[in-house]
Amino acid sequence: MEVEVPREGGVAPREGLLIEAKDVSRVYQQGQTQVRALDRVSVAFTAGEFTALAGPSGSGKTTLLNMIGALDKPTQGSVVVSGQDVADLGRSQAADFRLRHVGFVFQAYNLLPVLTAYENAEFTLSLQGVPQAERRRRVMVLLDRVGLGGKLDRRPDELSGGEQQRVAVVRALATAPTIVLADEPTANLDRKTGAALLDLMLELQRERGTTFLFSTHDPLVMERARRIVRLDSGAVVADERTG
Amino acid sequence: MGQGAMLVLAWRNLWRHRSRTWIVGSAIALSYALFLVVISIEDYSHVEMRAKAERMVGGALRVEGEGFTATRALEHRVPGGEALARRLAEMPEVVATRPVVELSALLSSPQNNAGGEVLGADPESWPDLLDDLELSLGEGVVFSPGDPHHIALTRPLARDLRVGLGDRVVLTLSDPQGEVVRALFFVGGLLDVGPAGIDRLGLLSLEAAQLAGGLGDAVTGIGVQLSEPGRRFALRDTVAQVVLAERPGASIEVLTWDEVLPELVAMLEVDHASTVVFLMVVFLIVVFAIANTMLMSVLERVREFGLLGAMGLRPSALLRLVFLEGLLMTSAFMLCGLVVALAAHVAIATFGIPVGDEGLAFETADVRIADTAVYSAIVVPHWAKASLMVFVLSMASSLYPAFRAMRLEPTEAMRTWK
Amino acid sequence: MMILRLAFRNLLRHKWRSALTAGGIALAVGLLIFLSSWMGGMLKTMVASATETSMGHVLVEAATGGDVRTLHDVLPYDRGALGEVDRQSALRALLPRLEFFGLAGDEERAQVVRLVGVDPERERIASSLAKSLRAGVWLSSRPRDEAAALEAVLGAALARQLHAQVGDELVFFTQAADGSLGNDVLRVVGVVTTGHSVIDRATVFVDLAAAQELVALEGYVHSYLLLAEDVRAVDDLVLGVAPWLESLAGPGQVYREASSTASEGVLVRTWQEVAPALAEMVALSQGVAWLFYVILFVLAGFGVVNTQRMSVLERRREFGVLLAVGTRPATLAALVVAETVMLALAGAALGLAFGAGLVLLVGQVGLDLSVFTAYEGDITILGLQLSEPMYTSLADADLWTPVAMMGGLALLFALPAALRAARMDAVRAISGRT
Repeated sequence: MEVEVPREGGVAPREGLLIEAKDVSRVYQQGQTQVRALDRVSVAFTAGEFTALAGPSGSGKTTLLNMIGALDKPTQGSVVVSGQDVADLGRSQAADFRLRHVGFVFQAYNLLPVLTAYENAEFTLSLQGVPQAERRRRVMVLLDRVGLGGKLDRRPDELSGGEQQRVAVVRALATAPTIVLADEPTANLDRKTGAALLDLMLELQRERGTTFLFSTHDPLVMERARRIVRLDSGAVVADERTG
Repeated sequence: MGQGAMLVLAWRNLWRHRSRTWIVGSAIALSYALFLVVISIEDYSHVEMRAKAERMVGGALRVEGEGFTATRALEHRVPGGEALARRLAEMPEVVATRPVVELSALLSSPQNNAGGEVLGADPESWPDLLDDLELSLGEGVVFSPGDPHHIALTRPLARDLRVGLGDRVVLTLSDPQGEVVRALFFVGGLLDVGPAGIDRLGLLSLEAAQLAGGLGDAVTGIGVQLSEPGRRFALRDTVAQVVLAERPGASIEVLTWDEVLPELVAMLEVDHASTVVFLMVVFLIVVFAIANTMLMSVLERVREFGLLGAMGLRPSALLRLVFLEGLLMTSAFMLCGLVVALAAHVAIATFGIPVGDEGLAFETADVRIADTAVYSAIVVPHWAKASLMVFVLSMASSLYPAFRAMRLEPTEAMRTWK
Repeated sequence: MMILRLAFRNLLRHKWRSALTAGGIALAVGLLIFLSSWMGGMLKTMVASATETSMGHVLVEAATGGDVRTLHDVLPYDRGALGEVDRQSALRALLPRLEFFGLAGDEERAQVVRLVGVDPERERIASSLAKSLRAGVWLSSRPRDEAAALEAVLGAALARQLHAQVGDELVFFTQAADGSLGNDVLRVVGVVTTGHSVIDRATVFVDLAAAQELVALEGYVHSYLLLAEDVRAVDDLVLGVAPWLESLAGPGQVYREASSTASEGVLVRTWQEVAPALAEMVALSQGVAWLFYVILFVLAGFGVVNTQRMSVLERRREFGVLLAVGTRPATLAALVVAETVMLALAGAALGLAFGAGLVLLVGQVGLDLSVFTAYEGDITILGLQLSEPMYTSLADADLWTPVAMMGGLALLFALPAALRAARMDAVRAISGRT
């Protein structure tokens, strides 16, 4: 496990900690009511984890995941990722942060419908300004690894659900991020495809050491996760190591 | 992100709903083409009027006695007119000069009186005289050299006076000293008038006119034809210097044809400006359609924009993307519109659009054109200005949608499909 | 009226989109209303100017066998008899005129002018001449003081050329009808600008009696200008004054065709026959206006068609469900049509307010086109004064044609989307497959 060196302007994490959420609350307005998505949650993650955030809908797992990915900010408390407090980031800075440190795999609509599989996969590398030859090298390696080397020029509407998710995984990993956040990635897939996808992600995690955090209530994920953090009504109710 | 990649993304986004883009695009193309075609049809008659005005004045420049245009009084004359005209014709920038005597006179015959313009001209220095005035010889002869009593009348004027060939006509006018004088003439020629010619005109030889008006060797004006009429404002000073050298102390001025007929120029300016304003307002209607379409396309991609934001695309880049989509659509369809406008221009310039038997009569400041059909003329600065306006308006309409795209919060965008 | 309620709420679902679409329609309708008022006003002014100053709605002259009128082509003038004619209900005004050419000026300069003898009181009431004064006053109806100079009103450009101002005196010469030299001293009492170059540059107005005396034509005039109460009912006017026309020439000698070759009697022509170019211009303008109606509405229509098509596409699943539970395709189509028409009518209503408002605003404030040019003098085109601000009025505006046309066209615009809605396959729509 690597010890993270503190980045500029950030808080030095405690030894070995990649992500530290301290006393985090998130409240937002929904029409007339106030919703408390997270209530004083404190949890930490180290590098190299393959962890599931589990819980029923409305438990706050997606909200927590969003904050770790600098997509959202806490109303109270702090979320420090790779030495950076997400609350300190402006919108452009948050985008830059995500580009460099985070990979995303969503439940659906991961890909841009007007780009081919290859173009989708290399998109984040292109945003980083990586030259074309290098992009091609990195992306092709991954695409071959996930078995999509022959479907480079297909558009998303020409790929199956499982294939689309695999392209999303390639894109998420192509930039070699510190964290990959997956929000219910198997929810739209059948059991077999879902299992295959998760096995793939597990292998990739072992090969590369990237931290994988899932938000899920799919037992297939829980089976493979090495740690399960359970949330309910915005609070952590359990935190188990399973492997 | 590379400009090229963003361009590709923007272009493909544009064509996701092909009929939608085609419908708005056609609106852009057709209204832009309409803009250009309307302007060029108007410009045709304007260009014609300007050309005609210049011909009527006798050239791009005119040398006159100071104050003649305002008062038409013979006291404001150019002494030694023919000699000065010859001298000016020697200048390298000058193609030809036309000394003329213009008299406002009362013409009388035994049957009737009529007011009319009487023009004394020299057929050698103005060989195209009849064509320029849109007249043609009907009967008799136009000029009779050596005969100081010969006058040619346009047929309408001859009818007014109830005269024919050989009949007497008396001219009554006031000479340079303000005295009322009369001069006797015999009708030696009858002139037919084209649709836009001056219908009541008498033509004399230069000498006869000078004699009748008591002008001696003076003339009322010298038309100066330039090799580069477009540079007339600059060349005016050059000509003025020569005039000053030749006639020091005389109150003579050199005017451009625009200054001889300022009312005409003003009317054309007002006409053109109000047409442009009107067409721009018409294009506003298309602006609404563009804004609507782009807004729809942004709002239906809320999820996707959230995704892009999540992946690390900055808000400003999202703005650029939507803006680029607007730019591509505008440019592509304006190009189509330009092609349509050019085709229409060629068709109209060749075949014309008929406008009725009486023709479209434009008259102002005594310059009249009467076409039975309208044609088309491209004035490049006008087309350039119009294109710029259309472009700016179209781009402005994609501003709001672009800003909407930029202001999306990624989580909010993605919450929409939970 | 479930459909209407549903249509209305559907439109409210996408406020921005509906607003923008309705906005485009409002702009088109408003623009057309303003344009109709503007052009209508301009044409009305041009026609009124031409008819009131020069030819009347009906021009009565001596028949000349197709030739241009000369000094001797006259009609009898009986001042007393005119009072009877005035009582005609279709007649708004009767203006006698005598005209001839002469020279006017002073020791320094002289100009050829057209002298027109008019009845000062009749002109003051009815024609726009008296209202076109730029300086001084109109001719008075007092009998002339023998020793004093003759009151005269000049066209403004003519006055400028003669360097004559109100109060100045000019001498006038002409050749009288009996061959003698007529002359008189004129005193400028007023200056007019009508926008007609013939008047502004070359005409002098004096009292009719004095003019008759000057040119030795006492008891005669050259023309009568008739102005009708209702411009569209000119024939009624001619019918109404027929007895008087006969009295001028003798029975059977009143001719109504412009191309008449009669050389004795009375020729009666409408203004359209006297100035066919102007009449044709009016017709052409109306044609052009219709063309613009069509173009503007087509442009607005683009927005509507697009909006509705996309709206139907978005609601595919919804429509699929509706079809599945038993709604008829025609009903779905009717829904789309109802939405489109509502949108169009909302836009038209807004446009009506906008257009009428604009007309009223410009009616108050005026639009000065002379800002587009640096020229400071008079700019006239076919009787219109462009160098003065122009005012619009609601009376000239065509309020209802644009609104009605839009409503009608909305049905047309609704067709593409409505057909798509009706032809939907429920199963495919619900599953989301295209």
